[in-house]
Amino acid sequence: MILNEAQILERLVDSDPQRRIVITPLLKPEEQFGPTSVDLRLGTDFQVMRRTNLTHFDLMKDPEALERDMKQHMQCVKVKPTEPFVLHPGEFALASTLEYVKVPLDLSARLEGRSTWGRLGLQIHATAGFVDPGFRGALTFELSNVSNIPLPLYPGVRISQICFFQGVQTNLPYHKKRYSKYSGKSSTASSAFFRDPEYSRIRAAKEQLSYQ
Amino acid sequence: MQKTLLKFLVFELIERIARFRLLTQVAGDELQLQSPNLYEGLLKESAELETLILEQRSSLNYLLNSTSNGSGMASNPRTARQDSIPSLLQEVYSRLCSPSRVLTHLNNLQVEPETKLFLNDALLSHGKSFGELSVFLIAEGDNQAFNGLSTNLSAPNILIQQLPILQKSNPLGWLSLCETTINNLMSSTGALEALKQEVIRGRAKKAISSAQHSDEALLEDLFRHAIQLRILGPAYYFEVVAQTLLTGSIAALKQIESALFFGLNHQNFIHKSLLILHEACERSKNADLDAVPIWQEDTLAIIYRAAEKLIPSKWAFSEKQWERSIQLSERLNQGILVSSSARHGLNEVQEKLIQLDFKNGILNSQASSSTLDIYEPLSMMTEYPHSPREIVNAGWLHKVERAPIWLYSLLNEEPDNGFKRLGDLLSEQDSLLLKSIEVSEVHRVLLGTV
Repeated sequence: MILNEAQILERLVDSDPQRRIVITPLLKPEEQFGPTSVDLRLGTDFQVMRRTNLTHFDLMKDPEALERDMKQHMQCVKVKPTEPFVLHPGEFALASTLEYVKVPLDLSARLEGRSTWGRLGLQIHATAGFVDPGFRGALTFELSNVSNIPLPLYPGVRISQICFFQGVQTNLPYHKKRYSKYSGKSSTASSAFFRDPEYSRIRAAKEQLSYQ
Repeated sequence: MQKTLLKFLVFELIERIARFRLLTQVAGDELQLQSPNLYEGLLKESAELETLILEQRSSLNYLLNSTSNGSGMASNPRTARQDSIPSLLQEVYSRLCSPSRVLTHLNNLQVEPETKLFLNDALLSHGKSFGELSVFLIAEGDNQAFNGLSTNLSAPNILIQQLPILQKSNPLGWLSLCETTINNLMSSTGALEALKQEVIRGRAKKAISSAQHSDEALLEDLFRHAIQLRILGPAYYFEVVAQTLLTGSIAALKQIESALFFGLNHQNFIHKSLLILHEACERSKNADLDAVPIWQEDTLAIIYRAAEKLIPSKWAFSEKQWERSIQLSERLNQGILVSSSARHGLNEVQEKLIQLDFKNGILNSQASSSTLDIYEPLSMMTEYPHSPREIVNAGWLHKVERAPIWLYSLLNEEPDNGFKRLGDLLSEQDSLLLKSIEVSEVHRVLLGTV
């Protein structure tokens, strides 16, 4: 069941902190609330991939080396509140919500784009719009411009909306889940794919096979 | 040294050591490009500093967990050796200062943009123009780095603020940034001279009849502290105690702390953490070293009145702001952003929903209200941005309350991994505070109140 605006509001002020949704800052709730969603805003920090000396990520390297590679090739860009981040046609960038969001254990959420921006060709996530129960922190945007004109993006602009779904309380809240990688981050976080345990297993198998 | 003060000193030191390692790692790529050996050397230095602290684990644990509160623990032969710990800690601090110099020369370690937002709030948001505020990173403990500049570079409209590199990303360490401007303000307005005359002419004349040059210097010092306390709030008190303990001037602590605590009371800044620290300072005082007559309460009152005259209430950190900081510190404990909060409590919104007859998201069909009435409780959720000073004050309270837990964990639970874990916790705290300052600025821009 998707929560309506009054249910979301009831959850925002719930006396039980475990059941409470947190979305802060709420600058203009009257503008931000829709029938079943709350608009979220763009933050100030962005990450773009520097490709000039990058051919690929060698997934068989050890996780520390991969993490170093990622850091080396991700350029962090911070814009002032009155300055735009210009996303050019065909470009991809990571960003995050201005808001800190906390999802209770009996709810899950989905982050979606706003049609206003969709009509201009802005996609706010590539494939990862689902938010687990127990998530806390800033949500990451995977921005891409699929139009043919550059899009100036100002911090604080409402580019997305979040809606909440009622479920049964989870026993595996996101922040306690083994291998959770992005919980509690207050700003844009780049991919930590190298921490996925599959790679170490593939590496080990590859090594073993090379001995045979 | 009194137990609470020792805890405070130990935490300040281990925090700086953890920050040294963090910054070295942040600049790792650049350092490795320049000189892999230098990078290794810095990491080794950081590991040795950590070992120096961890070697004292048992003594520190004994001191920190003992029931005695006084400074007279030396009567026990076991504690006699442990009484040397404060000086050992200061030695470790001195050793930390010099390698931090290397970090000031790296391109990757730059002043955070939020530093300017903090300075604008503390110094410029009240319409006073001081000229250009430039912030430069200096080595830890190197406060003389920009002394002796030529007259062209030390003109009144060029204000060079020095920030120790280890505090680069830690907003709680930015409080000393206002010092240059305050010095300038004190001399350019003639406020310091006026204060000196008032103290000499006024009620305290008798008390300073034997005033020496050092007394005048101390008067100037206390006036500077009073002004900064008025602008920056109780966070400044914590910062001064921490810095004075680290640099080992216990005598200075005794004179300055009681004057600052007087200022806290004068401005109605009350909190148990302030009281606990003050009592610890009081207990560590030696009877014969108690405040000299010049710093009797009537003289301190003159100093704080002069500070009030110089810094009007509109510019000062207010009692209300302090109350907000106390509330925000609870949110920091939960890891929640503290950039803003609503003026209405959650219960007020709940009551409004009940009054409108909303339950489980549905308007009672018998209710007289319309579904559009939901806009009323929604507007009650509107949040207003907090100032960087409120955020920094909340951060100090949060840190003072968490520090004993973090210290215990480092010394007892995970000594092998303790400094790394502490570094992660400090990094999270820094990010939360930086993001809060930054988001509050975006909020102000959107409200049109910058």
